[in-house]
Amino acid sequence: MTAMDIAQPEPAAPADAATRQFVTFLVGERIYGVDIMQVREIRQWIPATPLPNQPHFTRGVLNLRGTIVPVHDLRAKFAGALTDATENHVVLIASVGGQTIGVLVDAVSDIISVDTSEIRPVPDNAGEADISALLGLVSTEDAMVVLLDLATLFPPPDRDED
Amino acid sequence: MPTDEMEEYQAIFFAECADLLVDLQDRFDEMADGAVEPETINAAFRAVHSIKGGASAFGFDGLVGFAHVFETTLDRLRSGTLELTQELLGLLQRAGDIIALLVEQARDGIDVPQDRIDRVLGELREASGIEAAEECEDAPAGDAPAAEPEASEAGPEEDAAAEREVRLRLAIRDGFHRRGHDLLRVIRGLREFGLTGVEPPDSFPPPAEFDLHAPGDTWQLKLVTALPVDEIAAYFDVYDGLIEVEIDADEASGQEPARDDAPPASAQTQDHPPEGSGADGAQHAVAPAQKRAAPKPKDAEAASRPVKRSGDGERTVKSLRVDISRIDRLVNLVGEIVITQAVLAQKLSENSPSGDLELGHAVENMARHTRELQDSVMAIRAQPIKSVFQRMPRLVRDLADTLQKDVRIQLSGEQTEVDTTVIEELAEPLTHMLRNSMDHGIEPTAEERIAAGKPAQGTIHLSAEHRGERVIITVADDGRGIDREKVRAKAIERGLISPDDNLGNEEIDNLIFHPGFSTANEISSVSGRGVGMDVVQKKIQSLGGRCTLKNQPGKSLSFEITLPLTLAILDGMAIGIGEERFILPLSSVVEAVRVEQAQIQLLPGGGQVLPLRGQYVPILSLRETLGLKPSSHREEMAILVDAESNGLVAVLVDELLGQRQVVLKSLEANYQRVEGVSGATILGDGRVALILDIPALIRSTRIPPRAAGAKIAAAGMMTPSPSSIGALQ
Repeated sequence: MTAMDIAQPEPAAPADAATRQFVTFLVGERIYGVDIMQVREIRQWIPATPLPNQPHFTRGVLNLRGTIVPVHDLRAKFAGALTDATENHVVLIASVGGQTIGVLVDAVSDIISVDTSEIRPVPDNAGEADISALLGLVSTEDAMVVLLDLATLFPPPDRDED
Repeated sequence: MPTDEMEEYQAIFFAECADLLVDLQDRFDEMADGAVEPETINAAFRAVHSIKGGASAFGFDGLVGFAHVFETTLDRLRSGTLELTQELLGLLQRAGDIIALLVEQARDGIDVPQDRIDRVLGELREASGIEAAEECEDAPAGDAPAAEPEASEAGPEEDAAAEREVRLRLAIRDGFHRRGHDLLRVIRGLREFGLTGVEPPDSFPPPAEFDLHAPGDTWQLKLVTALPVDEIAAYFDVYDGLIEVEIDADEASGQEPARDDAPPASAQTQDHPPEGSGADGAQHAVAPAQKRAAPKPKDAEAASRPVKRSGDGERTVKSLRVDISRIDRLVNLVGEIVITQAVLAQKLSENSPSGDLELGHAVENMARHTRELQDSVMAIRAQPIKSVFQRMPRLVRDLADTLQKDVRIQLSGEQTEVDTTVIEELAEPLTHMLRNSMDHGIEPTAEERIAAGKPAQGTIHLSAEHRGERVIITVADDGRGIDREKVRAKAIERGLISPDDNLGNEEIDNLIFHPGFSTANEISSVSGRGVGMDVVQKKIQSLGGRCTLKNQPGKSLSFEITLPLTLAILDGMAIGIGEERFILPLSSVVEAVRVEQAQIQLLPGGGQVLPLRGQYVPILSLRETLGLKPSSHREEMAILVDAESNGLVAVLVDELLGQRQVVLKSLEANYQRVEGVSGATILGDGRVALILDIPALIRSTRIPPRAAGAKIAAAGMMTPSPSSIGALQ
C-alpha cells in the first residue's frame, strides 16, 4: 500500500504556476499579503482566552467551531506593541504546516494575482526583525505589499519524536 | 490479487495473530497456575495452528516452519506423550516469545536473531523427541512437492506412524473468496502435508459465466503422509467452515461408517451445501488400502469436526472489529451534545419561571441520558490494560536472557479498563521503565542479592488499579534502588546542581527525571544512553498523567504513574477570576473555603500561607501566576487542591462557578503544549476555558529548584515537601 501511495503524484499545482494569488491586509500603514492557499477564512475579532507564559504576540486561543485555535498578533510580532483590538479588527484563519492558526490584523483589503517574476527579494539590510519570514516584495498600483510566509513566521512547535 | 488488497488481508491476518498470541499467552498463564486441562492445551495448540495456517497462506516460511515444530510439541503434550513440567512450560513460553517475534518479523521486518530461533527450535525438538527426518518431511516443501515425500521415505521411520495415502475432497463455499481466501494457496499449503496429486473438478464454467461467489465443484487431492487425519483436518480450521473437506485415509475400512456420517452432519449446519457433494462422497468413499496404519480413535473426532467448526463461527456475533476513527467520531459528537445540553439547560433556567416542573424534569432527564450516552460511548473505547501488560513478560524474559539476570515479573490488575488511546501510548514508557529496572535496579549477580538478604531471583511487580477517576500503574522492583550519592555526584558532574547545594532525599531521587540524566556508567545496549526517565516523564505528562517514585536505597524502587481514565472527558470545577473562566480537575479539588484577607500570613521572603485548622497551607494566586489583569479587590475564595508531591495548596480565585463535566480539547492540535495547562474546553457560551494542572503550574513557576523548602518547613508546614509556592507570591 505504501508503495502505491508514494507513487501518487503531488496534489496538482495551481493551473498557472507562474501566477500566485495573495490575500492582502493592513496592519497600520503597511500592506501584507499571504498565499491564498493558506487562508481558510476571515473572522471578526472576539476576545481570545489568554494563555500563561507565552510570547507576548500570542493573544490566546479561540473556539473555531469546536477546535481550539491560537491567535497571534501580527503588529506585536513585528513592532512589539499589542494591537488594541476592537470589533473592527479581523482574524485571518490560516492553515500552516498541518495546524490551524489565527492572525490578528487591522483589516483585510484585497486579493491580488501576482506574476512570480514580479516578486522582488527583500534587501538583506531592510531592518525588518524577521527577514526569513518574508517571501518578497511586490508593487501594486497603490503601494508595496510585503509577502509573508506564515509557516516561518509562526512555526509549528517541534514535535517530540521520542 | 492486487497488492493493496493483499496488504489488507495481511493486516487482517496480523490483527488475528495479535489476538491469537494473547490467547496463547493466556493459556500458558493458566498452565502456570496449574490448570493442565486438555482444553487448555488444545486451545494453545489451536492458536499456534491458526497462526501457522495464515502464515502459510501468505508464504511466511520461517514462521510456518517454527510454528510447525511448536505445534507438534503441543500436540504431543495434548496426546499425553509429553508431560508438562516447569522446564517444558518455560520452553513453551519462550517458544511463544519467538513466534511473537516471528510474527513481528513478518509484519514489520524486524530482525530476529537466527541463533535464538535455532536454539529454541532445538530445545523444542529435543523436548518433544521430534526426529530430524520426520520434521524435514513435514517442513514446508520447496517448489517440487511431488518429489519430497519419496526422498524422505529414506529416513528412519520405524516408530513414526507409517505413511499412507490420504484423499481429500475440497469444495469451497459461498464467502470463501470474499473473505480473502484463495484456493490455490490452500492447495499450495498442503504441500507440507505431502501433497502428491491434484485433480480439478470435471468441468469449469467458461470464464464469462464464472461466478467467484458461487459454491465451487469438488477438487480432489492426494497426500502421502503419516499425519493423523485430525491434524490434516485442523489445517482447514482457519477457513472457518468456508471450505468443505472430506478426508479419506486408508487406515481401516472399519472407519467407513463414521466417514459416511460426516458429510450429512456438516450439511445440516450449513445453509448452502455445495451441490453434488453427496454424490461425490459416495463415489469416492472407499479408497484402496495401500499402506495400512493402525486405526486411531482420533479419526472419529476428526469426523465430527465440521459441526464443531460451525459452532466456532458464532463467536463473530459476540464482538465486532470497528475502525477506531468511527468511534472517535462518535466520541466527538457526544462531546458536542454534552456542550449543547449544558447550554440548553443554562438558557432554559435563565428564561423560564422556576416553577415549570415539567420542563425541569425534561431537562433533568436529558442531562441524565446524555451522561449515560457519554459513559456508554467511553466504555466502547475502554479496554483492559492487559493488552499492554501482556507484552511485558516477554520483554523481561528477553532482557533476563541478555543481561544474564534471574528476574521474574508479576502482573496484577490486568483487567483494569483504560481508554484505548491511553493504552496505546503506555507501551513505550512501560517498556522503558522495565528496562531501567532490569538494567539498573536488579543487582547484577545473584550473590549480591543473597548477600543483601534477598531471594536470588529478582522480582518486578507491574500492577494497575483504579483510584477515583484515574488509573494508577505501579512498576516496583526489589533491586538496589537509587544510589543517592552516585546520583548526586553525577548531577554535580553534569552541572545540574552545584556541590554546595543541600538537597533532600526526595529531591536527589527526582534528579533522575532530569533530561539527559543517566546513572549507568557505561553505555548499555539495554538502557542506552541519553534516553532516560525524563522521556518517560514527558510521555506520561503528555497523556495528562504524572510519574513519581519511591526509593528505598538497597531495597527497592517503585514508580507510580497516575493517568486519567480517558483523554476525552473530565469532571471539573469551574472557577472565575475577573472575566476569565478556568477549570480545575475535580479529582484534585479537596474543598473550598472563604478567605478573609487578614487571615493570610506573610513569610520572610515574600511567601504567603493560609492557616487552616492548625496547619499552614501555601497559597497560589492564579491571578499572579497566570499573569492576568490585576484587580483592585482581593480574591475571596480559596480552593484547596491536592497538588500531589507538593501537598495541599490553597488556590486563590474570585468565584466558584460549580462542578461540571467538560469535553477536553487539545491545545497541541493547533498550537503547542502550554506548561501548567492540561487542555482546554468550550463553555456553554462558546468561550474557551483552560483546564489547569496545578502541580505543573507550580513546577513551571518555581524559580530556584528548592529555594523555599526550608522556609515553609520553618513555618510549620506538615509536609516537608520541597514546595516553594509561598515564595512565588
